[in-house]
Amino acid sequence: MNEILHLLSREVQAELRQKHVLWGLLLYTLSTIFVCYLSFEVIEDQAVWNGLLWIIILFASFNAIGRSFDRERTGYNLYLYTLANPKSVILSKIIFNALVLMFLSGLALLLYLLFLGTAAIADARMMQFVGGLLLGSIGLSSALTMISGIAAKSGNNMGMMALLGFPIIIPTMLILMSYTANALAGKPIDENAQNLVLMFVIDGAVISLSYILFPYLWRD
Amino acid sequence: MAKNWWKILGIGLLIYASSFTFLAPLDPGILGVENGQVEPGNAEVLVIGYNTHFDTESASMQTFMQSGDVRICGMIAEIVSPTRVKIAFDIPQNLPLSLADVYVNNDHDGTVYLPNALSISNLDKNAPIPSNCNITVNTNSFEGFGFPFLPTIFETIRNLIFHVPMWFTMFFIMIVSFSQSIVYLSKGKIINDIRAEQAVQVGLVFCVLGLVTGSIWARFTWGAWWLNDPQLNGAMATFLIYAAYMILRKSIPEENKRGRIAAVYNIFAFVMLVVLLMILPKFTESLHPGKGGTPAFSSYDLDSSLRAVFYPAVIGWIIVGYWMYKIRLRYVQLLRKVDYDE
Repeated sequence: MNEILHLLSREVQAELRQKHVLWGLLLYTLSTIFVCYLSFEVIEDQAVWNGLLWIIILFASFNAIGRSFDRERTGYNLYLYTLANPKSVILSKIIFNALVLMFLSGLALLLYLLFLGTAAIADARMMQFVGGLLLGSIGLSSALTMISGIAAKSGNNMGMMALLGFPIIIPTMLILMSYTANALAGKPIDENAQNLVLMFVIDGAVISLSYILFPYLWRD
Repeated sequence: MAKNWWKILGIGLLIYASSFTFLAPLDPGILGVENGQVEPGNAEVLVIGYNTHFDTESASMQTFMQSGDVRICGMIAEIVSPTRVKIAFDIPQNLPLSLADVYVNNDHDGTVYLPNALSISNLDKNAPIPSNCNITVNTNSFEGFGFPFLPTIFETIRNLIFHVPMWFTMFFIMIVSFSQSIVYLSKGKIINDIRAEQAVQVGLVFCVLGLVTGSIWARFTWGAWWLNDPQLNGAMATFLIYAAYMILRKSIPEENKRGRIAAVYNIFAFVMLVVLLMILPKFTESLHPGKGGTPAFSSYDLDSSLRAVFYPAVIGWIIVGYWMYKIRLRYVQLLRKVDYDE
């Protein structure tokens, strides 16, 4: 546990040291949303609003997570992984990516509302909706961090990341979209109970798989 | 010969299953009812049957309509052909529902019926509801060997013998691949990695066959080649996941590293397959039987004669899939022997 916290703080420090990466992600999100604004102006249809927001977050998360094993390509890796337990490494990376995605998706939501209008969230349950975004950040991070590790090992990082990641992320996206669609339509949380359970089951399975399998991936 | 008994068994089962698929007729049933919009009073409707024997069995023929729990007997007005019969009903002033099912029974075809065949307008809700007509109703069913007659599916039910075993076989082969990947990670022998890869290749073939047979079936029953259905989307995602596995393998030149990374991804992929094809469709609305509210197919169409063909077909396809996997495996091992002169 201590080790995870330690690795997590190291990730945060590395991130702060390389602020341009984070700024790059923010700029990426902003420009995607701006392009959406140029093509739609205002979205009133809930299904389109919901789907487009998730697509923006999905692409932002591919960008954010795709580089999570890149940053330290140098000999530092070797140094780190002889000292730290690989299981703590993957857990700390999942947590760190989840935090980054929470931040990114919250920001994306604000920019999205600013540019594309609030017509679609007129009768939404915002607490439930934002909860969905946070939950989604955890889901995306847990499924994609491991994929990012696999892609980094295969050499061709970003291309392989998209190839491996998109099919793997489909179940998570299906559940998340149906969850936030319910929240947007103003349905009570009871109707989302099933989506929540499924989400936790998938996240739990993926995180425990990552936990078990990462040591095999790491050993070079 | 003794060593290969299972191959002969598999081919035998497939020959048995496919000959049934193409030779057995469809059970009798009612395709539709003409002039089904009726009002109280005398009404004559034309019942169109399928594979029925209305003309030769006219002596034993009975017919009635049922609305709610009230049964109104009909008179055979005219037998036009083996599959067409005109029936006269004396529709009462009031009935429990404004819809009625039509039943026709004879000794040869058993009971055939069409739900909600009649829609009755101008019912007088204040009039008394009549009691059942008093004939003893035969409810024997068709006793020949045939495919069950189901609305909207009709003759395409034969596809069940091909479409469903493809997915069973794919799942079986993917289990083989999954377990070989686990063994590879724990033991590190290159043969397990080769096995996992060849199993995925064969599994992908069955996945494509399942998608194609399913797409053709969907065209004839649901009206489109592809629909937004969780089972279909899950199948497509499964295909993409495993296709990505093959590409991932091709992109890593070094053998041991490739084996390890591919094994890790393969274990991931199998868990996703279970989620996509078994868990998610259970909880969402689906057109497939047995998922999200639609009745499970065992409850209405797997009658005993169909079972006697469906299960052998599943076993036969699994055996053939395993055989294909064995051949691929031998081929690759021979290639390696030539390449490395092992």
